[in-house]
Amino acid sequence: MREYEQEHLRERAKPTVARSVLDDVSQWWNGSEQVAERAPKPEPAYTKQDFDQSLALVQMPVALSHLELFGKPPDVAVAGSAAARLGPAASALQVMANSKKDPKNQAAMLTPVPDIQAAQTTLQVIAAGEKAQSMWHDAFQYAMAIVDNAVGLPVADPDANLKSADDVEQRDHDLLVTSVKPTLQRLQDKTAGAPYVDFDPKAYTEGQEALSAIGAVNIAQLKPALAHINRGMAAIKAFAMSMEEQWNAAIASLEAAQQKLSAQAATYVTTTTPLPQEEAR
Amino acid sequence: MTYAATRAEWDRARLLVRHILREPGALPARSVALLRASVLPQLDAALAMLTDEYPPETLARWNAFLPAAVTAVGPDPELARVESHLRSGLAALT
Repeated sequence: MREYEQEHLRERAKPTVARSVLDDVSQWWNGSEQVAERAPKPEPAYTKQDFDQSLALVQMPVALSHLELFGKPPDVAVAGSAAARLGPAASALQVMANSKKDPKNQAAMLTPVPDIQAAQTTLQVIAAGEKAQSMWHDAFQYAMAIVDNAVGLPVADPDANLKSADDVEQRDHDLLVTSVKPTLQRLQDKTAGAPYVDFDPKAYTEGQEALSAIGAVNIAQLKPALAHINRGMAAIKAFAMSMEEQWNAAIASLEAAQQKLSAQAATYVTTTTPLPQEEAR
Repeated sequence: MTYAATRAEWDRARLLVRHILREPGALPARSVALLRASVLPQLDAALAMLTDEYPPETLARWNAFLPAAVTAVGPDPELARVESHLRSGLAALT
């Protein structure tokens, strides 16, 4: 055998297949510590607890409100009572979603919330009558307060080694000051007056402009501001309808919410209920 | 109608919920959050309805789900007392 061939044999790599018991187990005490790693169990999207709590705290008030509205003439008192029941129902869903770790499960849990909130806002507008204007005034004021808070956040130093979680990028800060705040101020000014006198509630564009301006900024703290602007715009939209249209819009939103809630519950029922032939066995 | 008996029972239920929120003990965080964000506002809405001149059957219909809503929050002896007061308040309407 030639010299280089012998050298090759001496430097042979560790066998990939165990040739003896010793080869196989030597790693146990000579190698690094071995920790059994189990694949994390995926979080169930919808549990029995979710089912029970959704039924009692969300589906019941939504169904009750629908029952009191459907097929009946518009009634200010009923609208007020239903609106008062829908807010806590939406909050219950948000609490349940917050207890989920997986963002996908959170999002799935939250799907009926916009419909419940839309119905609530419409019913609040019916109940408030001429005082409904204060709904969007307040909503836009809250949004402005949140934007003001965001303007006050410290601007991140790009050269700093340590960065605070609250820091905002210089670009976002500049956008807040030069774009978001003036746009929101325009929305406030435009909608401050009487609808149909000082502004057309069906044709104003400042709401969408404010939403777009906030959407261009990457600051997590601004999320509630978006929600307030959406709520204010929904109130203006509802105000522009006739009472009959408002009533029907609330019913439609409640029905959409009920469909989504039923679809959520169905995922739990179908995964836990045995098929008839399985039960017979 | 003043619904004094119903009001007294639901007031007691509300007081108990506030007490649980102050001292939740072993109640899970999710149950506490549900009590704060959903059950308490529903109870406030129920109490507000008592002043709105609704007939008793309307009040019973709107609030019949409340005892089950409290039970769904979680198994707890204090919550069972809340549920009992809510049921008594509903029974006083009929």
